[in-house]
Amino acid sequence: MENKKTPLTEEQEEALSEIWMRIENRAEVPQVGASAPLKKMRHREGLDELTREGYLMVEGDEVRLTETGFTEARRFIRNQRLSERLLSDVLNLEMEEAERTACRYEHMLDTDAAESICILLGHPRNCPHGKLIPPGECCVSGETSLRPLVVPLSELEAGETGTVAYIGTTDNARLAYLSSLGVMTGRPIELIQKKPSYTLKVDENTVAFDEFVAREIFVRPSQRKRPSTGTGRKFRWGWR
Amino acid sequence: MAQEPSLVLTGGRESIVTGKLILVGQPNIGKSVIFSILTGRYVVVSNYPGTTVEVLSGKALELDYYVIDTPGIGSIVPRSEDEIVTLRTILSDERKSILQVGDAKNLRRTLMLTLPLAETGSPLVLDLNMADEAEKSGYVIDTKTLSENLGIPVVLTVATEKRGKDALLDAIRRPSRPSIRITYGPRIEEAAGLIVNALPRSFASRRFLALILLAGNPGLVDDLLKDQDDGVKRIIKDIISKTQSQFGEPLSQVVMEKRAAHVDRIIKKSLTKREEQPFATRSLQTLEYVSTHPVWGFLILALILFGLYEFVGVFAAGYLVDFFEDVLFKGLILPPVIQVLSHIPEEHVRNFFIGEYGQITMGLTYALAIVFPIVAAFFVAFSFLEDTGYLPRLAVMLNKTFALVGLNGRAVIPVVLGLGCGTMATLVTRILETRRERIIATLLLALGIPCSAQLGVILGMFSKIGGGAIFLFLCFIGLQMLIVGYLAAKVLPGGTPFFITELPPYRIPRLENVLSKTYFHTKWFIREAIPYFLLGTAVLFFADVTGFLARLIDLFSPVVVGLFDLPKKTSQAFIIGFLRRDYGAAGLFDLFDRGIMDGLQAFVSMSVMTLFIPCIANVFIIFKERGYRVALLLVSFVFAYAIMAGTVLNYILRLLNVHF
Repeated sequence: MENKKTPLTEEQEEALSEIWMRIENRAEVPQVGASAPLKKMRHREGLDELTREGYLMVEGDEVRLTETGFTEARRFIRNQRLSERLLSDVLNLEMEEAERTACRYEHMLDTDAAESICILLGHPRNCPHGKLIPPGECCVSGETSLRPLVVPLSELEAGETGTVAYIGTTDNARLAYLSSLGVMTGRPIELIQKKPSYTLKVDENTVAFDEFVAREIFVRPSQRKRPSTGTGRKFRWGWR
Repeated sequence: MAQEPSLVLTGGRESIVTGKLILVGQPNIGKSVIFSILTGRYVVVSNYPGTTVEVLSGKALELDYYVIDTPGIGSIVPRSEDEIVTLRTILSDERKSILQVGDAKNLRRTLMLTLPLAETGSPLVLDLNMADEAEKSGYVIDTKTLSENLGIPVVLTVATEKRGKDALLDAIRRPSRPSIRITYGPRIEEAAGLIVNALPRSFASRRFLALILLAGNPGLVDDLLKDQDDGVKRIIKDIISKTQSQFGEPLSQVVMEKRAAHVDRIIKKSLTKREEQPFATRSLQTLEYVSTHPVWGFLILALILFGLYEFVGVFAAGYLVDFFEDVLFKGLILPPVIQVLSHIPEEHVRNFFIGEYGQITMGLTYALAIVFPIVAAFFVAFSFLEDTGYLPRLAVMLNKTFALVGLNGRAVIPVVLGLGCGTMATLVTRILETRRERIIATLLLALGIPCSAQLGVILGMFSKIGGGAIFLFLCFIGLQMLIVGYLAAKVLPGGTPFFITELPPYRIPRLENVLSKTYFHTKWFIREAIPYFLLGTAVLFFADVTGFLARLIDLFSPVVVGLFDLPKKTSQAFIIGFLRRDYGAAGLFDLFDRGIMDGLQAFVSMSVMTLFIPCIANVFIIFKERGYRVALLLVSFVFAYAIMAGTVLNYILRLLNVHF
């Protein structure tokens, strides 16, 4: 359980998803404790490691999903099927090609990205093959407005935090100045206010700039959802 | 090499000097305070970036060095004239040591400058200043580890309290060449190598320069290598553009990210942070948010302006001037002096000193009784304000307004400084990035920003005319600046530049710094002003004696009487106005005081005087900074515009039958 944070390898993810699909093939609904036959597994490499780290339990010739294993498998299956949906519906790829492409980048999707895709596609219930896509948080809350993962700073609201994704300018002098102020890729920032000028806190620096510059700074907002009414600011009389 | 920056050398005492010590660092971190400590020279110190726009130097008191103070640089890639000056100074000499003054609570930022400075190959010392603020924010810096990683001495100081001075002196005495060396990957390294070979051997620190050129905009090659032949510049530009084409992202980003990665590694080893935040910091932080708030911020601004008016306008221009003029001068000082001098038998000589246009009765009295108390009061208020760190917040508040006239928030600093002294302010326009901005700012300063002396006279006079007049006056002058600025922005090619500024933390001003700054500014001002006051008085005197004044007044009267409906005598105020606007304004004040002008006339004449060409010292600076062509154009435009605007104002006020 302590190792929960080490990311799974592609083989391990594939192994988990295979177990999931074998459970589905038995016409069972995958859940914690559901099991699949061990002997037909194509992806055997990761199994030992997964068992050791508490994702799986091997009982005889059955392999059983633990709670962590179930959550991970579910997440991965969801990413996989959403990716297929995206590629076939939005990009109009042939099913086979969609599947191949999806295989390549489903490993890179994180939960946030998957959620964005899910919202974009209107919370699809099934993958192109007709299999069930495990619903995510966004499906439950019924979110319909999509917020991209990386937005210009001008899209953030006062009081929000995030990390700088990149600076979208080719002006070297500005880039150098911003990075010397600490505004550079990967740095955590907090947007203090937007009017009359943008004010940003990064490390110990407070930096102010105009909207033009704010549009060039692309950030990954920390919270997925927009804070409804000012979160985190100790101080807010008619802030925004 | 590009031209050597003009150095102001002081000292004069013969001593053996082993080399130069160049102070380099980001803006507003106390380089000038360190400079004062090292050399014993007084320099103006404030809490906003861009106080130092010229290179200053002086012999160190306890070291064998000439110490050179440079304008602060935001990053190693320069953005404005003052930053280029700093780079040139770093590049100018082989035999030099560098003292980097950095912000202790902002180690990341400081080190982002240390790494490129280490590339100069010169002995380097890192002084982490404002160690007290770092401590308050909970930072603990391991200077030993830092020093080992960089291979240079690292010291902590609190310059304003002279803490850490001995350690600093010690570190400077044993300089060492930095051992840290960053490699930027094969493609950048290859390009840097090619540029190093292309640069003439006479250049010091070629690798340092090569990396700056690579990380800079294409125009930087022309700026930094101004005196090189075009062949060299072309070769270097070719190398840069070829290298750039191999990368998807701008080269500066590639270089900066390498440095940032190094800095991260060093910081991980040498910096820890305690979490709790003391109350004092937090309340100052709240003030920080409130003072740039779209609503509260403007209220605070209004409050500050009101305070300024009460202090400078009502208190200084009213009570203090009355006291100085009536009690001190007319009551105590003048009568005995006049009595003594009235024994001079020759009438003209006597009048030269104590006549209507007498050096003492007019020149000195104006300068010392009217201008001195007002200027001193203004600089007390101004020094206090700038030491708190409020001015950059003002830039945040006014950025959008300034955008209307083709400037951005950065221009707030020269403009506000212009309320102190237009000559200083015109020098400070160097912190603006483009030539276009510098011209517009110089124009607006020359046109409508009254200096403190004039402002005091204006406030003094208007407090007698009535509050409504002040409001109308502000609207009128503000409108003129908007119109002229807007048109200038339309006429001059180029766009409004982007605005980025850093906001320094609020600091509680230190009384001694406020007082010494006031003393310094006031002394500077008085020394600048008195010769012109005396000269102006002398010109008037001789013009009067020879009868030339009467003819000059006749010459001016079509404008003064015909267009402005003013008494003929006001001409002499405008004639002095050519030398100094504030002296001219004081003359107007006097005429109004003696009942020669009514309220409306006083309003019109003061408005024209405010728009009138700035004092002669300022005109000289405009010529020096902007070149004679632009300067000539600016000055004649301002002169013509003042007359035109005054005529229109007078016409409209009379048409509407306004009375004060």
